[in-house]
This record gives sequence, structure tokens and C-alpha cells, in this order.
Amino acid sequence: MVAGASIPFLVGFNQYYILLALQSVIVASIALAWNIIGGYAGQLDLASFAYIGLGGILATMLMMEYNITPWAGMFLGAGISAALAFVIGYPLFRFGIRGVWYALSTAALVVILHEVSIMVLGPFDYYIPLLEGWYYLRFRTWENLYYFSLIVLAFVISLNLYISRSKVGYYLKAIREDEVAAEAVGIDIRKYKLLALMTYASILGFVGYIYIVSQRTFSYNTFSGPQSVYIAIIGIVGGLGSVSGVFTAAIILKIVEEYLRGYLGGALPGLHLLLFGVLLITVGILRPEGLSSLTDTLVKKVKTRIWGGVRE
Amino acid sequence: MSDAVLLEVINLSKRFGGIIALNNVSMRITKGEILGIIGPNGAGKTTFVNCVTGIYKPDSGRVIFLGEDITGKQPHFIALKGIARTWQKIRPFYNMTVIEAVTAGALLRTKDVLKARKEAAEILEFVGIPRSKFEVLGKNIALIEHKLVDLARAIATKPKLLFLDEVVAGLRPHEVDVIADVVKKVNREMGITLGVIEHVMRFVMNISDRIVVLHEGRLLTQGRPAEVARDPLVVEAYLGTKPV
Repeated sequence: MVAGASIPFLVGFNQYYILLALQSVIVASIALAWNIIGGYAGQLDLASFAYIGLGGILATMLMMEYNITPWAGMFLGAGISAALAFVIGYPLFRFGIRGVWYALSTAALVVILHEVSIMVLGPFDYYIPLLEGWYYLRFRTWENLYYFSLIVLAFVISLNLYISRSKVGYYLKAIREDEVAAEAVGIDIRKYKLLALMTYASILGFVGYIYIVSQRTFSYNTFSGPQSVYIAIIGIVGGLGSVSGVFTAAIILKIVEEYLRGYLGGALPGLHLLLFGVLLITVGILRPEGLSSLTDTLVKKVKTRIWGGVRE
Repeated sequence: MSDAVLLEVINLSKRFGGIIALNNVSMRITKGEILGIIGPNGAGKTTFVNCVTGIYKPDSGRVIFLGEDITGKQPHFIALKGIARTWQKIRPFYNMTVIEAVTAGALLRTKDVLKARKEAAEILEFVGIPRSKFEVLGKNIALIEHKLVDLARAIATKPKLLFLDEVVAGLRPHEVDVIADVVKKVNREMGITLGVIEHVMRFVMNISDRIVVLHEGRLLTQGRPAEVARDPLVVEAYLGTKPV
């Protein structure tokens, strides 16, 4: 947190680096929200940008059309996203859709919202008007939004840690490992999966506005399938259910992606994606259980240094 | 043996397409006993347990547990009522530690994770898993340990009735004796009524108070282990009529 807060000073308020830090923090928040449904509950959800788009576009449109503060819009977006998650999740879990079929169904949700948004709003593509100040949560420079997103990230991390230590966390992990066995020890798997899905969706619905502001524009393409898959990739590369692993993966992948795009994107278009793919395959071969195997050991070592032993 | 009926099954039937897996099976399990459920392959033993524990919905018949009709209810509801089970093919939580897996079971009766962990530790020691194994991941333990952890996970839900589905399948003879001791201890010291589905005769004859025999989906006979072993119908079901 302290390290995160000091970044703007370290880079001398260079706007490019602060924006990169902002985007990394947003990606980390999204990936850690995904960790709740994908990491703990083990449901390969590919619909993250359906909820981000829905919540974010709702908050932004309310601001543009009716001058409603995004503070209200973000909470409304969280509520609407959770409601959508319920409408999608209830039948999926009721009829026992899981594994690849769950992944396909959620991937379809992004495509559906992409098409529906075009039907409702026309082929829209907006640049956010130059509104500034805390009322609009939008500023001339990026520091304030960066600090706000750090608070959001801190909240998502605490939520993850709280879940992993609570009854819900044990139950979600049991569901991830074996749904039938989980049900036989008395776990209402539908209820807990739905709870995980709605928590995840409401966080994304809230973060949507910040994401859109950091991108400066929004369109029907905000409902992005590839971006949703990218979030799941971060969650998997980081290590299912590992907070430190997913956080590290989000920051590293975002920076590496940006670096490769910046230095190679001009030389041969697409080369950065190729290298990015090679990087992912390398992790897959060397660390199939994810970066968590490295970061967890590191966290344990640090704890041992501080407390002289890992405590129960 | 007290005569309080814990579980009463009345005319339970289940078919899969043209195959009748269970055909009008009725039986009672009384409080405190160890009931052995035996029968040749395909007799319907596992189907019976699956119907009672809610994994399958029976086509007809009723399952009454402690006077309450639980026929066709969802598995988690039945677990809450007090029926637990283990699995013929082990179903471990590979990426959770041993203690976490058992804690997940103990959390059925409490919200307090620390309390559940404590209970889980006691149960694990009770079934004979040493403390040094508590923090080991499920994927890194041996078959016998998996069987014991699965058993501990089921016991942690504090059941009144526990079904063990082929708990010694695939184990070596001396390991079978280890499990037999644990199973007897679970029955006597914890007071849990047991339904033991088994193929290994030495094991099931040794521990059961009473045996029921299923054959081709029907209840063939029931009685004390020694009586059942001599019953010509049972010998015929296992070996056939004509001498080879």
C-alpha cells in the first residue's frame, strides 16, 4: 500500500507512468475479483467485461446524460451487475452447467451484451466529456484516480483474504475440488457458487467506471471477449486462489505487455503478442500451478523473518 | 442392540433406461448397529446409497430418516439431517491440505473456522492421521491416508448415520485391519450407526452386527453374518448353481 502510494513521487509525476500504474492496479483489482469465482470457486468465468461494461457504461451514461455523480453510478452499476449475475448464474447452477460449458456460457454473455448494446444505443463510441473534479471522479492528471483505485484494490485484496479464511472460502475451495463430494458434506453448492458470482460481478460493476475513465473512451467494444479471457489468463497464471500470485501476475503481465507493445509494436505489428504468448507458455511449462508456488514461498519467508515462524 | 429405527427404506426402486438397478428394496437400519450391505457386482449396493443420500432421485419408494420423509431431497439437505457417506472411488480435495478438507466438513455444524479446525484436528487424530500430515496437500498423500481423510471428512459433519462405500477396496491386507479397527472405533466410541457396503468378506463379516444381501436389485436375504454366509441363496448368487 505504502509502496503503491509512493509510486507517483518515484516517477516524478510522469503522467505516462502514473497511467500505466493506474491501469495495472485496475487490472489487478479485476483479476482479484475474478479470483473469487475462478480461483476459489473454480468456475472458469469468461464474462468479466460483460459486468465491467454494464456497470461502467451505466455510470458514465448517467453522468453524461443526467449529470448524476458516478459515485452513485458506480454503486448502481455494482447492483445492476450483481442482478445480471443472478439472472445468468441461477439457471446455470440450477441445471448443473459446469466446466467448459460454464466457460462457454459466460463467454456468450459478453457477445450477447455486445450485440444488445448496439441494438439499444446504436453503434456508439463516446469520448468522455472533459468534466473534472471529485464530483465526476475525473481529473486533469491521473494521481487522484490512481489513489482512489489503490483504495479499491486494497478493498478487493482484503475481501479475498477475508474469504480465504472464512467458512465461505473453505466451502468455495471444496466446490472447486469436487462438487459432488462437497455437496455430500452438506455444502449448498448452488447457493455458494451464486454468492461468489454475484460478489465478483458487483466488484466489476463498481470498477467499470474507473476502467472507462482510464481508457478515456467507451463503446460497444467495451464488452470485449478477448479482454475477458485475458483476465482469466492472469488468474490462472497467478495461481488459482492465491492472492499474492494473482496480484504479481496482473502487475507483471500488464507491464510486460505495455513494454513489448511500446518497443516492438512499431517494428512488426503483432510481434508483442507473439512474445507475450511465448511468455505464457513458458510459465505454463515451468510453473503449471501458477506463480503462486513462487510468491507463496516468498510470503512465508518474509513472515518467518518477521515473526520467527509461520503462525496458524 | 436397541430397536430404535434410524432409517427406514420402503419399496425403493431406481431404473436406468431398461436396467432396473433397484427393485422394491425395503430395509431398516437400527440405531447403533453396523449393517453390512453385500452383493455381487451390479447388485445395486451403491445405487441404494446414492438414492438414500440424494445423489440420485429414486423412481418410487420412500426414505424415512428419524421419522422424516427425505425421499429425493438434495444431498446437502440430507447431510444436514445427519446422513454422511464416503465414496467407492476416493473423492479427495487435491489442492486443499488434509486439515482444510476435514475442516470443510466440520463447518456444517458451526460458522467458527477456528473451532472447526480444532474439531477437524481431533477427528484426524482419532482416525489415526499424524499431526505431521495435517498441512500436506491432498494430492501428496497415499491411498490409505485418502481413505482415512475421506472418512474423517464425513465424520466431521457429525452424522447419525454413515455409509461407507467399499472403504477397503484396493488396500493391502494389513491396511484392511487398520481400517477395520477405525471403523469399529467410530461405531463404538462416537456412537455413529454405520452402513458398510463391501466386497471384502473377511472385513465385512468381521465388523458387521447384521448383513443384508442385495442381488440384481432385490433384497435377497438378511441376518447375522454367520447365518448369511451359510445361506444357499447367497452362495448361489455369488457362485451360481452348476458346479464348474
